Amino acid sequence: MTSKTRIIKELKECSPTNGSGVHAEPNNSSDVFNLTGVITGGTETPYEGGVWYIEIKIPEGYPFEPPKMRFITKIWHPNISSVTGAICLDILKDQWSPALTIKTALLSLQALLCAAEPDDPQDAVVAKMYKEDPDLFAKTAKEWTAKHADPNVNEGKIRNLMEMGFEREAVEKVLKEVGWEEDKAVEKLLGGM
Amino acid sequence: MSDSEDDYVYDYSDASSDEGDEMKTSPQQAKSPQEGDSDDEDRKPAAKKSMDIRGEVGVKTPSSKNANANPNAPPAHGSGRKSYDHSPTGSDYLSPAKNPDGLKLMEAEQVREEMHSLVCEITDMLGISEAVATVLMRMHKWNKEALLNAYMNDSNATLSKAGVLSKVQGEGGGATSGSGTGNTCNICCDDDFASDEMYAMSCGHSFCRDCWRGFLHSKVGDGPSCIYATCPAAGCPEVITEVEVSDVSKDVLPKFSTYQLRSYVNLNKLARWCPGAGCTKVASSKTGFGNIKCDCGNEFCIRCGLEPHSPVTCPDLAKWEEKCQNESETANWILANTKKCPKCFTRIEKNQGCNHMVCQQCKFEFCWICLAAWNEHGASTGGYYKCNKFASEGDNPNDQSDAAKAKRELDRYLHYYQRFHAHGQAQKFAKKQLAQTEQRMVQLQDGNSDTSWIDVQFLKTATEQLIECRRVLKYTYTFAYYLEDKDGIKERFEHHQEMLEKFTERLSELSEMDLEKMDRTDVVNMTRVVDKFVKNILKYVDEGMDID
Repeated sequence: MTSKTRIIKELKECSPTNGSGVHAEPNNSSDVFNLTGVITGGTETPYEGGVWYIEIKIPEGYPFEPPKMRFITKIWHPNISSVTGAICLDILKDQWSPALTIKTALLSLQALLCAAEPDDPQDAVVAKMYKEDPDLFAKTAKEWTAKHADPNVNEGKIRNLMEMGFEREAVEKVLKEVGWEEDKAVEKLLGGM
Repeated sequence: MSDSEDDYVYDYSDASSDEGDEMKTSPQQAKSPQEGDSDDEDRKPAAKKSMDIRGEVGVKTPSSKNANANPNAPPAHGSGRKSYDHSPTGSDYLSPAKNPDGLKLMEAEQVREEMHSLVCEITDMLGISEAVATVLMRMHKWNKEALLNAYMNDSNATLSKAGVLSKVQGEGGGATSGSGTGNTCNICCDDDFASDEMYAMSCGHSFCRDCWRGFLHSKVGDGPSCIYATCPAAGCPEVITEVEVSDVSKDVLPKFSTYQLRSYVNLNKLARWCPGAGCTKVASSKTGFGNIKCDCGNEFCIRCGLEPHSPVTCPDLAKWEEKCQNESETANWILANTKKCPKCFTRIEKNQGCNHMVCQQCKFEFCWICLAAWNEHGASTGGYYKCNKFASEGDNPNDQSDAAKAKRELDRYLHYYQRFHAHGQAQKFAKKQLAQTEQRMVQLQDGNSDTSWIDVQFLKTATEQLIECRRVLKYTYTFAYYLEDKDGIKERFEHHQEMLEKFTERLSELSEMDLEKMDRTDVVNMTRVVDKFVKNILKYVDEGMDID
């Protein structure tokens, strides 16, 4: 059985309507090896109300090798790089098991947002703040959520760009790719024309 | 051998009473070239090899500094001294192949047997399978006592920590006995497998055989860490052993077993794989110390795997290597390969030739090593090789500012590094020379119909000795860099070093000479003198550099 068959099966249980708070879709319907995942922030956390897009690349050795994941949407979290979006999570590295799935990995990411592990940090600056000044950390994380991951703000960005004469579908796609940064999206949209 | 060389030897022994007795035998030796010849004849390849190993063992036990740190380390001193047998015939070279320090070379197969017999002991004692015993032993670094202690203390904890609990207590794995069809594999997510298509370890997590095979291929493909692989089920600690590999994917079993064997040697402090390319032999010693020459020709230190490096200790060498690597590549290259003309300060790269430099800019003639004017060099003025002592001239040693200290430290490092590097290059050159020696030997033999092949062996011996000298000289600079100077120890060490440099250059000159001009007796004698000298220096360091 090829990994492709398994991924197609996995994508069925990752559909946006599965009700688990996470989902994943291929960027391009003919290519099941490049996906975009979506997770939402847990209630009563600084991430409440936020929606994060995650780049998922399925390696050739999947499912014996872990999927490669990275946050596209910016996030302020000790185990996620505030610059590159790289994730430090054991099951995406040596603790990966072929019995895990894209969905379980996304659920683990969601759990990571609720329970950070500052002793195994990806972003030293964030981790230091998390340990030494939890209040400032919570405040910053909240600000970043509002600035980068708020779906309403994102909707506003979509509309802004649509006003410039682009199709909604194209705008959404580009915005997701650039982590919802409006000026970068403009650049990309104009450059692609 | 000329008188002047004999004089060197005498000078030296007079100057340093600690080694006087041994050195005084050298002139005698020089006067018995005939005896030397018969030695050469008897020196069959096998005997030669044993000499290499024995000679090395005696000489290269760690310096006493190190020995103090390792109380159970070398009982080597006694046996080590034996190889300084300074009888003029050099009979120490002819002893039968035995290793006084328990140094030995083993084939991978022998090591496998050794590992297996250890495993069998545990199997018998604890009544467990060989696979489980292997995992347990590995977890305890192949220390039987440590394993038995832990096991007697809390057998369940020991088994579960090693990831073999259910293998010992469970029902055993294999094909799962569940209902005939409709089994689901959690890896490929197919759900219509017959029970004999499924496989599980004793932990009970079953997957289809295809996925097991894919899983094991992927793990073994990841390399040596595959021996620590656990059940594919997330979070299950059950360790995979050769039993599962053999059940599911026999094709990767040889690789898996090789990795197990490799880890057996790597975890064993008394043994080391020969680092030679493609060589599969294992060297082991009773003490964990010593140098050994493998049958593949590679020579290495059992403790750190690098080329033999007496008189430097392994930790000091590691520090040195790291230091040399840390200096940035470009700076390193510039410092190692270029120098400023002492007169006009133009950067000069020396890419070939001797140490007599002529600056292309200002035509100033100087010595590449010490950068002093060339006309100050020569036998009449204290000798060309009087350039191995480091003195931070021109600097005010009382300047305690950080910048001045840093500069002094950098200068000091560069002083030692330059010489270390120069001898390293010379060693490489001598190795190349060795490759051409055989040709020269043929020429030499052809030139005289009375000469046998054994008669020309001296040329090879001389070149091998030259390589050895360059190597030792190289590491004497690392050693000196870390040598604390008290009671004039450093000065004395540098005196010996200088003498060795002088002898080495003589030997280099003699052995590279045109064949018509070459004097066999000179070369043979110089080889012997240098050989003894190297051994004496190393012994001197080994014994803590005491003069008493």
